[in-house]
Amino acid sequence: MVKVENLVKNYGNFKLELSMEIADGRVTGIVGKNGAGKSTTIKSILGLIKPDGGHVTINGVEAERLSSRDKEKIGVSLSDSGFSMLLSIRDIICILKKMYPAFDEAFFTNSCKAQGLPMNKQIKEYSTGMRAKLRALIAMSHGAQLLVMDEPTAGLDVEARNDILDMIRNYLREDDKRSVLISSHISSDLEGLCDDIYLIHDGKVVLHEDTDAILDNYGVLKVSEEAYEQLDKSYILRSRKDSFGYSCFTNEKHYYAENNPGIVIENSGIDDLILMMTGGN
Amino acid sequence: MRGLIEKDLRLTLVRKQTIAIFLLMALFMGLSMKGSFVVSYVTMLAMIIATSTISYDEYDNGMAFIFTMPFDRRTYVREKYLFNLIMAIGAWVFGILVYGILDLIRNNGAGLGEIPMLVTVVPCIYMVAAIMIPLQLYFGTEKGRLALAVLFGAIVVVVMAGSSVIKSSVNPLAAVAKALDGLPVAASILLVFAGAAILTGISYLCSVRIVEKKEF
Amino acid sequence: MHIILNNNSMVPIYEQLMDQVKNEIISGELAEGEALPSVRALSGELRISALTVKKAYDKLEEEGFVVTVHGKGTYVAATDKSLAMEARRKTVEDDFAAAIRKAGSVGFSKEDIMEIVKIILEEY
Repeated sequence: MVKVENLVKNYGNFKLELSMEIADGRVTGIVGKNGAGKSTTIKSILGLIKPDGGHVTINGVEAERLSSRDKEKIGVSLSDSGFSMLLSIRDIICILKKMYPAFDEAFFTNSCKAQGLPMNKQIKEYSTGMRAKLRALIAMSHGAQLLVMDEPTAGLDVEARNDILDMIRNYLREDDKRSVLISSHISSDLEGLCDDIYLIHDGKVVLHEDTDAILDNYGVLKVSEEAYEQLDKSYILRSRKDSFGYSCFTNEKHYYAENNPGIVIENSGIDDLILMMTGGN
Repeated sequence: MRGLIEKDLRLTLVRKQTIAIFLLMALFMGLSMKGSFVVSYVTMLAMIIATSTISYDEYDNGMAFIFTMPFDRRTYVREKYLFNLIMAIGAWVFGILVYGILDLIRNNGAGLGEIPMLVTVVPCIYMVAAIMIPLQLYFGTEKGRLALAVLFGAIVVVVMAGSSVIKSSVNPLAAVAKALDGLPVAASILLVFAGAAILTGISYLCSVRIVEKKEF
Repeated sequence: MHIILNNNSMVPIYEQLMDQVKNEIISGELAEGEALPSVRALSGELRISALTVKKAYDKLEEEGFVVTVHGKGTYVAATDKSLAMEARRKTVEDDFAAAIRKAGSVGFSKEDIMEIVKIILEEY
């Protein structure tokens, strides 16, 4: 579906340099701290910014040269951009109807009502959560094959976040060829949704792994200093000194569980992944 | 294209009060002033409203989302020129109606003969849009206004300098002016249209280049 | 289907899912020929990645518990339940054997082991 090959983009001191791929029917997540390069990556995929090097293709077409037809099959929700806040949902329906031949008015109207979004109010009167829900619904309103969502849950409370994630899940259920690219710095959002995850730090991919492999095989070993000296470090990705000894981040927790009876292993989520892979030494 | 026009229409209609005030002012002006000034006035207002849709697109970083929708950058530019033209013609028709009706009531339609000449109001004022669109696209809303002010300042300076040149010595423009004076009405109208078309063409090409280079 | 997943377990999620589907098939709660939820439906419901569900379904198919008809869905296969039950028994027996070997290596006597089993059974 989407192929990013050796993408390079310079912004002063910041340099983005990465490759990634979103396969058909895949839900791919991008995690990373603020300023890691998530939005820049997404904007390059959407052809909004021009790469200094490399290629971004969507179904084989260069991102900058996508035709209207190609773009009709992409649904986008950006974190800091959307329709003018002066408009209401009624206005937006009229615009989308003319913009996308496949616009599903019944679905869109019903979903807006279900989420409690008033039809005639200007968006500027909406709460942050309502705006985020509207942006997500707009992206899903025209049966896109590819959904690109930049931080769709940023700044929301747990309930609103779950509402949006459930909206995406329902969207996926409709057609199993639909693909999603979603970024977030709240990684727990992505654990229960994405098939694979790219961890981006300082403009580079630090790790790419299937989500279930992260949850099943990655873990944090908690060991004393003496135990740390003797520990077989073949599968330790990062270690960090703590008050009690060392926290070691591994991608083979079962190996350590079998060979070191009694060792304390915590299952790691993607949050640990970010913390350990972008912080520790 | 249809979606973009719909968007700009909606953005325009959102400002109901502004438009209502403009229309009332136009009516008032038509009543209080004798001449056909009202026609140019409403057309000018429509131009200001139409070009300001670019500001609304830019507001709150909206451009990034707009350009994810199914059209290319060239189409965005083309729509702005088309929307401005639609607005100019619409406002002009409204202005003519106000002018014509009032003229019929007051002067038994003595001034209606002026209407063919008033057709030139559209290209003349559309030229303002042709200058404003690329400026707004290039500089953004705030700086665009400033650039426009600077540009008009420069034009005034040039005109003043030019007129002093004309007054002081042998008038190089006199021949041109004389030739223009001699032209029949139809020909001069055509000339204005041709001038506007050329300016719009150049402006459009500049705008396309500007937007194609932009990053959002 | 009633699936309960434990995120804190050392058992991989797809294995937990497999085991529970197997149990339902063996116990007859899922009848032969019955359709399993689609991969995306189940992943949405359980809030786990679709790939995890797919992995579980694929392994279940490998073991002959389900069949996937391309483009249609996944169905409970015609399994010989007694055979499946037998296999389950066997794995439990193996687990017991492993535990007893371990106990022996630490020096537990047969009586000790019986005692432990009794205590565990009483608590159970």
